[in-house]
Formats: sequence, C-alpha cells, structure tokens
Amino acid sequence: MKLGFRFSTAAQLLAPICNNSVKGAKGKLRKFSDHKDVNGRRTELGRQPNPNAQDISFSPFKNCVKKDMLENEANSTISKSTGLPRKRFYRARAHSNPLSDSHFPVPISPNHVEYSHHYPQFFSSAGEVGSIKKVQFADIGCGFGGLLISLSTLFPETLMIGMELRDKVTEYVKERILALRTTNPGQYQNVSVVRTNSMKYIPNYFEKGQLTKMFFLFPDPHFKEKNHRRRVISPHLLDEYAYVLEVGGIIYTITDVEELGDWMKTCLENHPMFEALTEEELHADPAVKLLSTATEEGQKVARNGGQTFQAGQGCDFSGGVILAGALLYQQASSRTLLAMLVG
Amino acid sequence: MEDAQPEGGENNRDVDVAPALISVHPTQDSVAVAVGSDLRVFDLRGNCGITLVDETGEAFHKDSIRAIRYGANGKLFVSAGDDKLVKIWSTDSWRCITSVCSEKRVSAIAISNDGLYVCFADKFGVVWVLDLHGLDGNETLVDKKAAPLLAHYCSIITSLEFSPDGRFIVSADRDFKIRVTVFPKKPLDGAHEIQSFCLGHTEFVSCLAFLCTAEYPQGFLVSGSGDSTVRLWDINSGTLLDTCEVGSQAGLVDYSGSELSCSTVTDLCTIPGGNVVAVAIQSLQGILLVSCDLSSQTLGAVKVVSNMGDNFIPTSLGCSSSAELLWTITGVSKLHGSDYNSLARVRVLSGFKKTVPGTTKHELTVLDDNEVPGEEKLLEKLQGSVTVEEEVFLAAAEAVKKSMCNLLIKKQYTTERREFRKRGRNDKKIKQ
Ligand SMILES: C[S@@+](CC[C@H](N)C(=O)[O-])C[C@H]1O[C@@H](n2cnc3c(N)ncnc32)[C@H](O)[C@@H]1O
Repeated sequence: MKLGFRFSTAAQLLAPICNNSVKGAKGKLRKFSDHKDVNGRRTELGRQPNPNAQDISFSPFKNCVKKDMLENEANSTISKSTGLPRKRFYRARAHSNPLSDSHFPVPISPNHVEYSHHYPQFFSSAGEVGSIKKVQFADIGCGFGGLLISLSTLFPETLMIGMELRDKVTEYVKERILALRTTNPGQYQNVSVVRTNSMKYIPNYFEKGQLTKMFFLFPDPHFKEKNHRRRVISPHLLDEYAYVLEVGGIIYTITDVEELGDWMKTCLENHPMFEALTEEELHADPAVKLLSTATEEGQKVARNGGQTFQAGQGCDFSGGVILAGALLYQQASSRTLLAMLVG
Repeated sequence: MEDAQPEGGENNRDVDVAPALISVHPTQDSVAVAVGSDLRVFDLRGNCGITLVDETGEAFHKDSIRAIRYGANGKLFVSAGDDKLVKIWSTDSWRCITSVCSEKRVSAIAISNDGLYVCFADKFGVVWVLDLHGLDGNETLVDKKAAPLLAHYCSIITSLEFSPDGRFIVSADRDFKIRVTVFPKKPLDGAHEIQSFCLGHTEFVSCLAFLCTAEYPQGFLVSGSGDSTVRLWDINSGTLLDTCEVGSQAGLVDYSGSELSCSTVTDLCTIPGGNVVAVAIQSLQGILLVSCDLSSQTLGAVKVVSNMGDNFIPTSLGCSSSAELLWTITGVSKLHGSDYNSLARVRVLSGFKKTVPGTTKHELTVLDDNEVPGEEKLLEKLQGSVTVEEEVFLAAAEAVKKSMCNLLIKKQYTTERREFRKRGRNDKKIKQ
C-alpha cells in the first residue's frame, strides 16, 4: 500500500538521523551542559566518529572537511586569522541560569548577538558607519548544513544562518563552513550556524521583519498526537515566524512524510498571514530547486526512496510535499487562502 | 528534544503552597483575597463580608487559586488556579456566573477593558480566550468554551495584561520574554500579529503592570523579574527604556549579585496617576516605591516603606483606580508543620494623594488595624482572624519563596527519575 509504504519508509529513513538523535538530544544536552558552551572548541566529530554522522555522506565535502578539521586542530591560529566564530558568539549570561531548561547560551535580544563574529569578512569591509548587513535567511533545524552551503554560493551577498539544536551537529556545521572558507578564499563568508532551540529563541536572534526566507527542510515528524506541539510548523509558531519575516518573505518546507505534509499544509492554509506561492513563482524560484536535493536528509530520501524520487526537479519531487508560503502583511488585513503544490 | 514538563512534582508538598493574593475593585467597592483554595471578599460599601454563591457544576475552587482580578469596569471578577477552573463572578450578586474547565493549571488571567473577553494562560504556555458576549450577570452561563488565542512555546506564562487602550495583550513568561500581541477584532480566531517582544530581562519575568497618565494615555509597560530589576518598556517597538535595579536599591543585593535569588520581584502595582510603582520583593520587609518619569522615560527608586511590621514581606499588592490606598497582603496556604491552616495578613498604606508640603514626596502612612476601612470586620473576613501571630510570618515567607521556585524553576530530575516519569506518561503511544 502506497501510504503504508511511505509511512514506514519515512519512519525508517528518519530514524537514524532524526528520531534517534533527537531523542538522544536530551541526553546530549545534559552531557555537555557542564562541559563547554557553544563557543568552546570541540572537534569530537573528527576524532570519534559518530555512528549517526557517519551514516551520512557529504560526498564532495567529506574528505576536505575532515582533513581541514585536523589541520585546524593542529594549528588553531589559522582559524583565528579567518576570525571564525569560535571565540565569542554571544555576550553570554554572566551566570548560569538554573531557571532555563537550556544549557547553551541564549542571547538576551537580537542586539546582543555578535553577528560580526559570524560574518567577519562582511563586517570588516562594512566599515565603521557602513551599512551593516543583517541576516536574511534562516535554515531552521539545519542538520548538517547542506542547504546553507548551496545557498551560500547562490546568494553570495545575503547573510544566512542555520539553527540547530544538536550540539555535535552544530559543531560539525561550524567546522564545515570554516573548512570551506579556508579552501575557497573569499567564499562562504555569508553562512554561519548557531546552536539553539528555534522553537523558543527565534525572537532572541531576529528583529521584526528581518528575514526574507525561512527554511524548514525535512523537519522531525513527531507522529504521536501528544507530540504534535513539538512540530516546528504549528499554528502558534507560525505567528512567531510571521513576526521575524518581512512582508513578502517566504517560508519553505519539504517533507517525505505525508502526514506531516498534510499537517503543515493545514497550518499554513489556516494562518491568516500566509499565502501560497503560485506554481509559476515556485518554478522561477532558484531556492525551490535546492529543497529536495541540497540537504543530507533530502539526499538520503533520494537514495532510499529510489523510484519515487526524481532528483533535481525541485517541485516535481514526487516523494512528498513542498510547501511555500509568503508572508502577506504585518498589519492585520483580510484573510487570503493558500494553495499548495503536491508533487 | 527538550520539552517543558511544567506539571511535575505533584507529590512534592511545597507545590501545594500558594502565596496569598489581593485584588481591589476599581472604585474600591470591595476587596478580594485568595489564600489557597479559599476566596474571601469584603464589601467596603456595605461594610460586610460577602458570602459567595456558586451553583455551577464545580462549586468553588478545589485547589490553590493562582490568579484573581476585577474587570476594568468592576462588573466582573475572575479567579483561577491549580484546579484548572476559571470562575467568573458577578460583582453585583457575587454569584459564580460560569466555571470554565481548562486543560491545564491556570497561571494568569486578564479581562479585556470592555469586559467582553476573559483570557487565561495555562502552564503549557497557551493563552485561551473566552467570549462573554450575551452574558447576563444573573444567569448562570453554561457551555462556555475557550478558544486558543496565542502561545509561548512550552513556557509558563506568569502574567497577562491588556494595554490601557485595549489594542494589545501582553504576556510574560519564565523564559525572560514579554510578548506584545495585537488583540484582534475576532479573538476566537486567534491573535496572530505580534507587535513586539520586550527582551532584556535575564531571569523569569514575574509580573507586569501599565503606567498611564493623561499625557500618555497609551501607557508604558513596567515589568518585574527574578533578575531583581523593574524595567520600563515602549511596547510599540519593544524598546527597553530604563532599568531599575530594585534589589540593590532596596539594599538587598551586593554588586556581586550573589543574593540574586532573594530579590525576585514578586508583584508590581502602579499607583494610578501618581507615576509611582509599588514593588514587592521576595526578601524585602515592606515595599519599595519606584518613581517613573514618563516624559524622560526613566525610573528611579523613591523609598522603602519598611514600617509595615516585622517580617511583613508582601506576597501581593492591589489598589483601586482612585489610588487612595495601597492594599498589601502577605500570606500562604497550608503552612506545613504549623498549627495554622493558612495565613493572611492585610496591611494598608495611605497618602498617595497627599504630598509633604513644599516637596513632591508622598506623605505615606501605614494604617493601623482600626484605621483600615471595615476595621476588624474586614480583617476577620480577609485574614480569617483579627490577629495574626508574627512568628509565622518568617515561615510563611520561606514557604512562599519555595513555592515560587517550584513554580518557576525548571525541575532537575535525576536520570532514573526522568525515565520513571516518562514511563508513567500516557503520551507515548504511537497513533497508527
Ligand atoms: C530530520 S533533520 C533535517 C535536517 C536538515 N534540514 C536536512 O534536511 O538534512 C531535523 C533537524 O532539526 C533539528 N531540530 C529539531 N528540533 C529543533 C529545534 N527546536 N531547534 C533547532 N533544531 C531542531 C534536529 O536536531 C535535526 O537535525
């Protein structure tokens, strides 16, 4: 049965990277809570292969990334010279905060995020009074960062950031970007990553109307009904996304889990501040073409899903659902319906 | 993934402890006090205690009341708390008009300025709205269902407040956030448009209040927090205008900040028209008065009113819109290991309308028990007895501190305990 097949495929596909690791995330948070914060230098991924991580192939990047990580480890001044965000991402809280359930630093407000540490080249060339660029794209639950890497060269003048809850995965993305910057001088200066819980702290990172695009690729499905509120697209969280998006800004999402696709579609359709992109707009949008192919999860779905997946065809992705919604307005006005594209 | 589990620790006795609350009718027709599950109202006009009538299916509260409030026009009164019931009372008849069941424990309530909507926040961070259109003060309404209005993701909402012009609903949470949301024309469809986030507190936000004057009718927001500050905000932009370090102003904190946990702001009450905010602080005997200069948008500590009695650390503050008097209470439900079932002590401050001749300072006096409106009758009703032994105050303050921690501090479970709790949860089944 098709549906059953999809369901189990999805469960099976997502299990190694998402379900397990997300469940494990609690343990990981604990484990590292007293260890180092996100600014701490850590290269465990290079040293002790993570079974989950190994499962994922970054084909063109794999080798050079690992090599470079080792190099960096041996000679930390190299990365220092590129001003990588390892020193101080945030003005961290002066004292550890027992009232928060998070064990990573959370910026007090967007003004407290040291974006110059994330994008040193952009900020050094901006000059003292020069127009300071703001982050415009956010990849929520960026995983191993494949989308950011692709977007980086597609939109070289746009600052973009990944948000990822898992500590090691975030570290990995950081190292990956660092390596790419080193091996491709002048490139990949516009991408960075932070470790955070996007469901709680998006307003701490972005001002109202700051973002033009938000990506939610292959989000965790959370099948159990009681856990639906953990889904990263939900009616209430869309209110926050609408707040950080500029008018006309776009939410992109893709999933191979039919049930989740239906859920996200319903959420977006019912939200008065979002409207679907037309099919023409979807086809014309260069970002759409990356949705199914650029991330590690997408590649995995392609590998395992075989016949149902047609790589490189963007919205003709027949193994699942692509949704894109544009923010209609900031000031309340009349309600508009969302149409959806199903491959 | 992390996920808040705010309803833990039911077996912990401290959780049952609830601080006493006080609320004053906008034109001072009556005063209400909640201690544990007990709601007590004194009629100041008629000079008598009121017997509440509750003929709804779930009569009276069964567990600690966590929020009480009068509507701006004084016709309604709402109470809610740990028994997951939101009760709406008519202040004419003091009958319970309706009891609405919440799915979770209720942590805060607000009533729209026109009295047509009641909003309440549950412990999972969801704010619900009840439509009171067609509500007749004398009939008992049935079948009122609340609709979700907005949500803070899995964070206990500690305070809810409508802006003075009614355009916004403001919600504060234990994750340091204050969210300002446009209150929509059709609230039952949800409030989706966020006006701003007021970010700057570095610990949980415990209380909110609005200051407004004739020159600034849209008002400014003030907030109190576990970071021992009171902050002044422009809610349109979310801009932090000023910060008052109340802990150090009240002499409670050294600058190393080591005593932070003791100077949590527990309640705020703006004195209408006077540009003064009364602040209750967890370890402060008495109250701190903070002045607000709205033209320069600054805060400054005025003074500590400390002559309210030994160990009198208020748990809640209230005043009417005429601001003749500031009503304060300290107290706690079910004091463990004491003969007292609950404790409540009311003290009243007067003089906010008077200034010391030749200065702008207020001539404040703490009223003696026989000067308090209603005198012994009122104290007997609201406190449960005319006299309260002062020895129990300290124990009460300690218990309140603990209960506040339990409410706001994320529980740190051991690994085994967490596994055990997981097994006990009923949300593990996969829906096929
Ligand atoms: C299925 S993976 C998809 C990763 C990536 N987008 C891709 O397509 O390869 C979902 C990711 O979201 C992350 N995640 C889940 N909840 C999150 C949250 N609240 N904040 C940030 N990241 C989250 C998980 O750690 C995981 O890496």
